[in-house]
Amino acid sequence: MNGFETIKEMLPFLIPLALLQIALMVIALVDLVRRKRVKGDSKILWVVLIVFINIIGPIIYLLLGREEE
Amino acid sequence: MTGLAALLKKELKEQLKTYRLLIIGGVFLFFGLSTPLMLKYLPEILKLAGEDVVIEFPTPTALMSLQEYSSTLAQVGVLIAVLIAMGAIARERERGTAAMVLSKPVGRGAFVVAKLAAMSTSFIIALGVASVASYVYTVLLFGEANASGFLGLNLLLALFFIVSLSVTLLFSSLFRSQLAAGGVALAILIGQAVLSGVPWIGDFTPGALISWGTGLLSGAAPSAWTAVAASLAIVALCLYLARLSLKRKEI
Repeated sequence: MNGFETIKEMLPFLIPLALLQIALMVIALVDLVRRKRVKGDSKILWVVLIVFINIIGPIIYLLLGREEE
Repeated sequence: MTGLAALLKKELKEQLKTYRLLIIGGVFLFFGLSTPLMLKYLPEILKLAGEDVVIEFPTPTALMSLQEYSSTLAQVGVLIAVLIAMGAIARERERGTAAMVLSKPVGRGAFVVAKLAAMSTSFIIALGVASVASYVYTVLLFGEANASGFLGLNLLLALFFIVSLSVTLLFSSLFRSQLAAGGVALAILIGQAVLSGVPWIGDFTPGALISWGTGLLSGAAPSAWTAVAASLAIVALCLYLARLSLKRKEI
């Protein structure tokens, strides 16, 4: 099997994973925008973490980054 | 147990509002989907990347996929259980919301039970969704898999997570600092995992639930009902002690 075929075969299985990542990212970002204060007081840092670290970024924000109102 | 129903409703809402269900579900689902996928395609991806390097992988099977998924989940699940439960009571006391809730006509037992029940519900839903997804991927990628064994494994995993939650909840009621609560709980849970390998004593640790579960998959499983009984006793004991510690404390 060559590389192209492998990737083509994998693709349908990767879509749900990608959707999961996008959903977590969007939920985390929406929460971040709405929240007045976050841990560490830097929203930009959280955006970088949420967008660039797959799966773990949004999870860490939702678990530890939110400051109660 | 006065006010249990009202408290439970409040705690379940809180699970959604604080993204608990989403966090647990997201992490579990990620491992549920990626484990079979990695097992199937990693050898081929490595083959594409490496030029002359020949690495022999054993041909992956459905059994391997489900076994790897569940052992990953058991480890990750304990970590998340500790992270989620460590603040459950400690944080509420710190912020004063525990005092507010307990000033109403609700029992301290109900307060503790509602918390454990709500967190357990989140874990069970997340585990259910992730396991179904992982099973579907495994069947699609590798063919037939042992469904009844996998169901049994999941029930044992759920009990294992409830034990992890209740141990952490107990320390969350004992300590003011949630980090201290989480640290001690994690140390104990890792300690029991080490003990679960010891003959005889191991039969009474929650860790034996996992080895029974993975054994169910391959069909050769010495049952570990002693571990089930011990786990239920641990949950009851943790709830009782947590209630006691809240009764004795100034909230």
